[in-house]
Amino acid sequence: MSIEVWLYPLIGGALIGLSASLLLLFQGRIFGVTGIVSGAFFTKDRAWRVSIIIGLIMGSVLVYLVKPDFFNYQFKIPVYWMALAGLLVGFGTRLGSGCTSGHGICGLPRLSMRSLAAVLSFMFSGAITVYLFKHVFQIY
Amino acid sequence: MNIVINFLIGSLFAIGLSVSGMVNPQKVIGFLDFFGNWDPALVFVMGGGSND
Repeated sequence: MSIEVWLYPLIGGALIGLSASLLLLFQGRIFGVTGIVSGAFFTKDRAWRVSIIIGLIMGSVLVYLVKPDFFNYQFKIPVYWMALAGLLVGFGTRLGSGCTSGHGICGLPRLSMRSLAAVLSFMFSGAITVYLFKHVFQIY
Repeated sequence: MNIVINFLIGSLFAIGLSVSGMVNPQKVIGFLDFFGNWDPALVFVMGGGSND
């Protein structure tokens, strides 16, 4: 296996886990990105959430400046499809109380049964969607 | 002070996500594509994230 397949994901995952642990340590909060973004809009406790969001953007910009290869990919679907998909993700993650970061990265290591249920259901429905769109309808 | 720490924590998360390759939608779709060329990278991301 080439290092792109396992080493970069492993290092990246460790950094994600480290940042989630640091947030729990300093802020006592779970690093759920969709929850942080919606909280920045819909709660009054926004300062820490907004600083994380700005950090997320600046961190990506930094990686792009140092090694743009990490962002060297093309979107194969039209923008309005992505907007629709984003809307569904936003609705679903609020309904399910979290996304990949909150339930996957933070919930599973805490042995949260609610997070396990969420991860299994979004992975399963994601796999079905990819199967349908790629292998049955052959759209993607 | 808190604002600075949270900014740095957010940056660290974004650096991790970019390095892991999961900013690329094709990597995520590759992981979910169990009946095509399955890409196990997300397993390593979750594994790396859980072992801190």
